[in-house]
Amino acid sequence: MNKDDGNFPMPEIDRVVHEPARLAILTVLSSCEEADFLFLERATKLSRGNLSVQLTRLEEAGVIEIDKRIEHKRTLTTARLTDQGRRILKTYWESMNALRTAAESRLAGTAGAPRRGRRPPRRFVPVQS
Amino acid sequence: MQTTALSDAPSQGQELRYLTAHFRDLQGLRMAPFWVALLVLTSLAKTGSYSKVHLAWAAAILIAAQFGWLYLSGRLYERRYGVVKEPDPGVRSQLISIMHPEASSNPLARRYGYLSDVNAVLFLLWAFMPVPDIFLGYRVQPGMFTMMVGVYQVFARCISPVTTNWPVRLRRILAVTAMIAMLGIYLEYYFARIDLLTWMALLFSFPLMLDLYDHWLLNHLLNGDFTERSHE
Repeated sequence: MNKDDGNFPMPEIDRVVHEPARLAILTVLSSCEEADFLFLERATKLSRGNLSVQLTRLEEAGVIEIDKRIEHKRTLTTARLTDQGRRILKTYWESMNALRTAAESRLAGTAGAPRRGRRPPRRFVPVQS
Repeated sequence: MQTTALSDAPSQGQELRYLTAHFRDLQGLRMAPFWVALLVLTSLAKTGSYSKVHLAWAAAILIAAQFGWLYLSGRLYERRYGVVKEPDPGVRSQLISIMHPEASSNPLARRYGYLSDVNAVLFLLWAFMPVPDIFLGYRVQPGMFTMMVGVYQVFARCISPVTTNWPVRLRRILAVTAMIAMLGIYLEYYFARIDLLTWMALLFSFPLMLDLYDHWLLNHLLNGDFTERSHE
């Protein structure tokens, strides 16, 4: 846990997962056993190049595994979450939930708290024409 | 802009999960041509200018051809939209799998949805018996036929999970409406207010409408405004 200003605990967020494009890919893969490159491209709306880069990063981090095979005379590239990837994704969502709960409780605490100081008086700024 | 992206993130995640989990269920063009062809045959039978035997044979050949189209349309969807392998349901029979101990919090919907292809094949196998008979003019149990269309083609959509996305919710609303309407039309037929062929035409139009909506929904979810800009 990190602390930003001494009283707000910040859970560790996995940077590999937290990137929106990679998170979209992992969201798709967490809902199925495996998906091919074309479906991931269409579902996440990523360009081929971007998707390829993000898949490589996820594979290097051990979150997914990529398989290439020939099916119906064409190359089929499929990706699936590894067991480690599922654990990482689960931990990520737990961290995000903890962060949200902490932020909500902090907001609730500040909303009900009485104001301590008086608002500073408004300064008159003359408008030059 | 940042706030909008953050507030949209959960719904986008829901859409992605829904799209992936129901990718096969939303492939409406697998069965839609079958309903169109049956509607055409029913219209031809209604005109009375074609032999009943010929129409019954045409219906039987159509059902047989539909098995091939199920496979071909699956390949077409794969080429156009990609491949998603669903988690293994474990057991093949839908009635057993509904009660499978590994089923999730909404086991009925999950297991039923995964087996949509099995539903289509079972329905087609079953349709070999009553559909040609109807064209021959026999009074095959219409209540049973309505129930089978409902169970195999409409019911899965009624219990399928929904997201906050309105087109996804509309899918369930349409399915429930279709179920009620199918029952109403059957009662109309039962009390002899409409004839057999009109009843059939109306009955086939409901799964056709739902299949076409599914195909539209698949395209809508894949071509929505969840663009690459939101990832950057």
